[in-house]
Amino acid sequence: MIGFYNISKKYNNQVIVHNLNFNIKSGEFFVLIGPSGSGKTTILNMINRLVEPTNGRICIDLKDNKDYDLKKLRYSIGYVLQSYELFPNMNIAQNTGIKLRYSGMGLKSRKIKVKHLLDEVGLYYEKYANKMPSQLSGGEQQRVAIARALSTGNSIVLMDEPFSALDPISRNKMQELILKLHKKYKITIVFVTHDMNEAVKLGDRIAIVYNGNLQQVNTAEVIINNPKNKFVSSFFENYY
Amino acid sequence: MESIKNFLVNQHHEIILAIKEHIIMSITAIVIATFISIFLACLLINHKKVSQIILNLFGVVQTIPSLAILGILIPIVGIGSKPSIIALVVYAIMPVFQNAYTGLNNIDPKLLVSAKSLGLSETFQLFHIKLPLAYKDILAGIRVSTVMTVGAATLASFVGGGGLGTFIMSGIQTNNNSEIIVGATISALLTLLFSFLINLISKISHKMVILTSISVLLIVSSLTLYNNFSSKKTITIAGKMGSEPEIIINMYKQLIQNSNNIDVVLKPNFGGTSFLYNALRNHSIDIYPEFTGTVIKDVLKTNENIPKNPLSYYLKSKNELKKRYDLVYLKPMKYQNRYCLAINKQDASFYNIKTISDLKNSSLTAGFDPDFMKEYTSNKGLRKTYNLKFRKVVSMDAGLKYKALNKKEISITDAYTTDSQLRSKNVLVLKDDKNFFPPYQGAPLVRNDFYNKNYKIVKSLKVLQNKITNKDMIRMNYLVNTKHQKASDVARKYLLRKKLIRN
Repeated sequence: MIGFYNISKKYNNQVIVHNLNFNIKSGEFFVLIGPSGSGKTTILNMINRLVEPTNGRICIDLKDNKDYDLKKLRYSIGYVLQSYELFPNMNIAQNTGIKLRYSGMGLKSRKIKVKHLLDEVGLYYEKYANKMPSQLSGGEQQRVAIARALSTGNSIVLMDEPFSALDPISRNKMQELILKLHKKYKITIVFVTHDMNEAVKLGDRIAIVYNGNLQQVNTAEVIINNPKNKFVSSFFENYY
Repeated sequence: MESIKNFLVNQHHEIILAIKEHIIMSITAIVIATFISIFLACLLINHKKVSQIILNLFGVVQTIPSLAILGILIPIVGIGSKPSIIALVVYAIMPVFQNAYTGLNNIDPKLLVSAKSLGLSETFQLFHIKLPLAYKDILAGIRVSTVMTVGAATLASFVGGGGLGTFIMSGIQTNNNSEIIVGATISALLTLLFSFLINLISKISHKMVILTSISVLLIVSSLTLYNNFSSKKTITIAGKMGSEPEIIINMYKQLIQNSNNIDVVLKPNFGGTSFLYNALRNHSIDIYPEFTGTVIKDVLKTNENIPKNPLSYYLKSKNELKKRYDLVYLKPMKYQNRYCLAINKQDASFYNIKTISDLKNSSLTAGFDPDFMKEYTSNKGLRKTYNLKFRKVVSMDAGLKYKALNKKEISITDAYTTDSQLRSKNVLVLKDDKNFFPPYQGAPLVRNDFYNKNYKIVKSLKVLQNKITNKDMIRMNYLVNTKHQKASDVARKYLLRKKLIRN
């Protein structure tokens, strides 16, 4: 479980995030949605401390995330960005297995594990292992990024608009893939998007963020039927 | 062309040795500079201001003339390849550092976030992500440094570091163009070769490059170590610029090795008086030949009026050197290499001039070396002593004055009494009838501690006492300067002829 308690973030006296209080349950697919500049990426990055809050605290499994060793915290949380996250100097197998290598896993067992991971995201090891990231399509690259995020058997994966740069067909495939993996591994996913269709399709619960304030947190059904305020209802007008 | 060919054939051993020295020196400097630069760049990766300061600092260092840097280094680290390598490293750092720093800072910030989010240690990120990504930039910097270093390594010869600069410098000294051309061409070719090799390297993966550079490093260091360890007891003999000191130190070497089982390292064309004298005192070298006149004038800088005869000069030098600096000055050879005035022979017979005093009423044109000008015009100078009046006195480069004398553009010039040009039938040396020019006799100068510990070596050097006449020396200078014979061969032939060594 990830708990946000009175979380605020100011940057140069400008409020980015204001007094957040909510919980993300273990194994939940939790979507943060809002227009650009609403503060949703900041919220996401505070979980693995890429951004530190000005006030409040965040607990992971009832322990303040500041009490974890920073590197171990980040190591144990998967993270997938929108793009440009594979290292161009390493091939696909190396990119996938980088965390395993860091943890000291031997070459042989690493190969078996990487093969399995690539298999899980639908990439054929023999075909892809020795390719460089630049030889892959955007969708394939995101598959590798997901495989890497899953490599250490993480229970939490953070995703920052991972599919928004993809064409609709690949995006659809990737959404199916992540739903399948979520179900199979019972991982907690915190997923940032600005696409309402995506949020409704993926999220067990959706949090709507606007101007650094949490507008409403609930299942898609409840939000659509009972929007809490005008912003929420206008935000969902485009959904059909 | 012919003389270049001769030079290549006669000196090929020396050339190969110089190329080896040049390569080892350059590679050592580049490797050290690369490690320092990359280390600094990694250290300062998040400190923009400090790195700017460092960059400016190296920029300033870059503007200091290399000779000045070498001069500063000599009292600290001595002479030879050490100061040269340090100076080369100092120059080579900036391009590598600048490129490495730029490369490390130009990595896409999104990639850095990605790297950070994985929870990897800084060191792991550095070695597996950042440095490999900056690799192309670093290599570009290394290439710039390499081209610079291989060229600049020619300067090492100024401090006895050897390398291809030796030929350039001795070529300038002895007016031997083929020597200069050979030295400069080979160094240019080496630069091209190195640049080409780095280009080749940049096409293979960085892992291969690291492997290759480590193996190159091992080879170079084992070579240097081998050279250092395989030697028996070694003594180092240095000489000043020019053919004469080179011939003399070759004689020293052959005499020593004739009766001692010892390695003698020669450092010909090693530099000026104060340089050699300091090198001797700080144990960088063990022996060098020095002139009595130079000791009095440039080392002791005494104002005393010493009678201008060779024996007084020698005894004064010997006693003062021992008293002041604990140096032992062995007995001199016969010949004198002092200043004299030379005259075109036709003018001499036409005006009936045999001595410098005879010049008084001649109204001839004189051409003097800029250094000699001082001797001529100063307060107690030649002009006052002999009350000379020339029609015209021009200042001209040492390399040109004999040509001008032969073409009768000038009638009188200054000369050294062992100049090989004095062999010419057109030139006559005027008698210094008022004994103006001080005596210059050469003798080995050694430290007292060396003298006491190496009785046999000193004994073999004593063989040259009162040997070698001016005529001998002029002839030997001629063979080396004009006929481009090797100084070691010329020295050997003399020693054999005089039965000073066994065959």
